[in-house]
Amino acid sequence: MNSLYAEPVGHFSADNYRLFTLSFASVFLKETILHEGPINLGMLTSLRRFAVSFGLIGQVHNENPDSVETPFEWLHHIFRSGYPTSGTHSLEEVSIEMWGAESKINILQLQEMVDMFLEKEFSTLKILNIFVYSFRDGGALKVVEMLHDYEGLKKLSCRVDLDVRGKR
Amino acid sequence: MTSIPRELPAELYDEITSLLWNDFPSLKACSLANRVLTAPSQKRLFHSLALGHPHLQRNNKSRVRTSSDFYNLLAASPHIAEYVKSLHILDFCSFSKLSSPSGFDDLPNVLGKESSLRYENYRLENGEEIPDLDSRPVTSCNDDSNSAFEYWLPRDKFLPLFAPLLSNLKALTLSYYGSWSLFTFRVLISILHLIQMPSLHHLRCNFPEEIALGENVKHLVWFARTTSNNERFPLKLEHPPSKLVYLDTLYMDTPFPILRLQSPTSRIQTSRIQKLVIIYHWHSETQGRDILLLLQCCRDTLVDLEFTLCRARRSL
Repeated sequence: MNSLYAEPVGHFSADNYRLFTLSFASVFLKETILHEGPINLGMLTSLRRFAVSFGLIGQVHNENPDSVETPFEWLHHIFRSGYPTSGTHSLEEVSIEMWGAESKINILQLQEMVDMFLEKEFSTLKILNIFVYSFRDGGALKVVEMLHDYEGLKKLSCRVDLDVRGKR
Repeated sequence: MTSIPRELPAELYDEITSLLWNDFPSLKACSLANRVLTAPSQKRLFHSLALGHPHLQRNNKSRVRTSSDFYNLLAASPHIAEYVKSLHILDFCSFSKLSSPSGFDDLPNVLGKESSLRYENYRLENGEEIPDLDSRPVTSCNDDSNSAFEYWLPRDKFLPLFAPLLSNLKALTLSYYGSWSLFTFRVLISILHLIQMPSLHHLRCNFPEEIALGENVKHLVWFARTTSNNERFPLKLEHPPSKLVYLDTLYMDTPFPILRLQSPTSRIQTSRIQKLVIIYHWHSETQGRDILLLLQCCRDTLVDLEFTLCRARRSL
């Protein structure tokens, strides 16, 4: 979208709107998200960039991260929908943005995602952004540190521009 | 010793003011400092205009103006209307009661362009002529006069006067979440005029699918309507435009049937979309199927796909 026409006006800046959208969305995130479906990235022959943002909020009295329904399974399905031929996959940039309590973020799911991007079907991938926003100080950084220590991410960094960041 | 030229090339003045694009006190000072700086400074000062409720002006830092302020400004300097490229109309319901609007005829139309809104081109949904431009389509169930809060836009009397002057408008943001039936016909037609302008490239609003868009709209940000599904749009164009509207970017914040988006009136074509941003809402029951249809429409051109996932119970 042309940034010329997205200028901040008063307190309705683009950033503020995004924050508003995220906070508004988070109200409805006690139950997430989407499951498998018929979307096939392989049919999108010109697709170069894919971005997704979601929240991870479990049941109020349930602190077990395994019980939180997350969109990772859906994401795996979407990303792998262009298989089996690498020719159907032309993605060059993937951005994944998540927010929520760090206790709801299952690092194993993130690691599985990284492993998927190591597969040969993602040979066109040039940029991978993973942004984690936590509601508590240090929560996101803890997740990001664990991800940085993961061997798969180190392998991926050899061929992909990685930007893995956490905030708060 | 070489003498300093008295006048700099006009391009340099443009360059100077472009560096001050977000420094409004300096731009104001420049516009008053020298005649040659007035036009380039004003172009940047009024490039983006936000119209809102008077209470938004209480904050000194806010750049939101009321429509009456802008009308008065144009009455003195009508050329400024041509500088407006981006218009934000902000009407969130307010608890501040507005003073009762006086009759439309009480206001002198010093700008003299209202006739170009061509009210006569519109008919009621049933084909009849509009009985009174200052009346509302529905008066009984949607009247907000007894409500503790109200919107300023539906009965605004200034926008219809200066809307025809905004001839270079490229971007329109309409942040209004009330019912369209609260509008007077006059205000409604002035908004439709803005939405249908050939110069318009970027549109952000929650317009109903029954209306015609400007033929050059490329970027559409479409928000969910909060009004009743049974509410019919009260107006129709006698001779609606026929040229198709091919979108480059679509941002959808609504679980809305794609086929309705592509109505014969809106003429929206999704086959050339390059960027698609979709917010999944928690209450959507049919959105997955609609998104699939949309993806199939733009399968050859889509470069950028973005999802924001909210609560949902069903599959794509």
